[in-house]
Amino acid sequence: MIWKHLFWWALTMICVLWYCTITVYVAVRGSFDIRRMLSGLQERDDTAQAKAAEASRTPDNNFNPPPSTHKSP
Amino acid sequence: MSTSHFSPWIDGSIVGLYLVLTMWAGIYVRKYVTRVEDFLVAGREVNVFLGIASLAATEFGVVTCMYAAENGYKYGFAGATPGILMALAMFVVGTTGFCINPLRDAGVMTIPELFEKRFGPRIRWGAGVVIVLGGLLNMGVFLRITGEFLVLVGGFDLKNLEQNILLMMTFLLVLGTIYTVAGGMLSVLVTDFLQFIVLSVGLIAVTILILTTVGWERLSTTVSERSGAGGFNPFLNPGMGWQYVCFNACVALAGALTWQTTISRLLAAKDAKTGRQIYTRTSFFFVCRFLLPGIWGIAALAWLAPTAFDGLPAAFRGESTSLYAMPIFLSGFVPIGLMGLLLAAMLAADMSSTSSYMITWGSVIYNDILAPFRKTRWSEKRGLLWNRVIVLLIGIFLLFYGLWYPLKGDVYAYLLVTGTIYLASISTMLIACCYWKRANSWGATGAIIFGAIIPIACLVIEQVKDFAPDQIQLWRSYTGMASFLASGVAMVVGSLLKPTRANPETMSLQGTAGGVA
Repeated sequence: MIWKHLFWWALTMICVLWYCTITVYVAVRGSFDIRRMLSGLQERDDTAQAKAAEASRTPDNNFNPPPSTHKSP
Repeated sequence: MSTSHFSPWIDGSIVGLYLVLTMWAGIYVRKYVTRVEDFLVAGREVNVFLGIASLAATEFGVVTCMYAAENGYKYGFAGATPGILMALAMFVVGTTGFCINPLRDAGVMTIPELFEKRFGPRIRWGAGVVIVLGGLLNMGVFLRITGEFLVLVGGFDLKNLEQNILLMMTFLLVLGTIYTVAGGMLSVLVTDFLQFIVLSVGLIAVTILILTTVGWERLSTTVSERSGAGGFNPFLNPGMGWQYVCFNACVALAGALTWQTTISRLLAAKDAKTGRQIYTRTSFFFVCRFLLPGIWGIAALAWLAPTAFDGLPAAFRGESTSLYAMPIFLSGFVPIGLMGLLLAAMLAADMSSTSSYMITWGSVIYNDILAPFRKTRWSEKRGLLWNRVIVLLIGIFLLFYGLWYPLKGDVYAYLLVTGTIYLASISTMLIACCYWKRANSWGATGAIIFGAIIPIACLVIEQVKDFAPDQIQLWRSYTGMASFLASGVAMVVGSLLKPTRANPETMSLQGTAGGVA
């Protein structure tokens, strides 16, 4: 029966083997990805907070819009 | 009647542990969400393996398991054909970067946002509407089917069937909604990762148990006796045929290019190369996604005696036997301990799909449908609040739609038709947007209208007219193919009819290849 439907038998076996392997592999590598993603987001937030804190400490850095060149009629 | 092997202490503890872990992880990452971009595309920080886990978990829900098993029960091994076609489509698109390269490089959060650059704001809005319409109708049946699966496998009292299904639906929805509302795509990704592991272990364990206990010999003999050569070859199966294969090939390619949950992983990837790797490396998963639950369905056919359905409520008998055979089989076949793992796996499958679908359709509502109403730029805080409200409203819609929509025929065929509402038009538009210089807003409007009208009419006619089971399958295949064809023709004719000079915004965006990147 296996030889008669070799395609489906082989596909089933490959599926089981591939799935077992990929589950372990993705579980390990994916956990590193999560750590990297969260630390990346944390770093970005820390940088943004540091910039905001610095901007509030130095009054020279306050945003002043350029004088308007538009003349009212 | 309840013959389930579910043990409240052993299996219940396994399920409880899984739930606590998932909810904790989902809510924990909330603190990293400070901007709308974090909520919708996880700050575009997703790497390959997290992307693979998330895409695989999202694309495997309980509903997937149910329709793939139903396909196995009805059509034998040939029922896994859509999975093979999907895997091919994902692999080809991932390898070539067809459409997904320019899409990712455009730096957009949704596909309609890309369309605005080429076809204008009205097309962006229209595309957003059909995407949400098709997507929500599609996922509208997820909750109910999951509820039914859990009630059957968990051995709940079938005398109060509707009450128990409602209870289960509400429970699932509340769990998924809590962490999705809290952390958006970031929570979805982290929980998807856990859910991928749990569902994979459960899926593999049950499949191995079936292969060793029922055996390959018995599985293939059962298919031979039931369907003959058609059980192994879709072209020879009277319920499938070339129409079914062609329509599924169209859906597979269109899905790989535009299915919002798949695309959201591409758009959340840190660059186009990572996005393509997620596609190619996940492609074979789509074969497993159909074949392994398909084997569960075949095993149900081989294992269950005809009397197994006696004593069940009418909703689970007659034509519905093919859909419910697999959970009925598993409830008595899977031993204590493994039953807990199976239920945790199925809860994981459902929660990852529901949460991911809610966030992706929600992103289109916020980003594209509500875009004209944001005259001034909203603050991040206001944007986040609106996104959370949208996810909540989608959850409420799912509950009510799942309760009241009477599903007819195959679940998978229903999902194909509802998905086609937008797959036909959006895939046509995306290809034209990326690679055809003459494509313009007239063509896009035609593609949206013709791509959506045919499947919607198909759904309405199905509710009015009584079809024989084999007829409905053919009817859906023909109308599905007609949608793709009509959408393509409308895009070409509409674009050629519009005078080129009358479309300055389009011309200015055309690169040397006619693309947008």
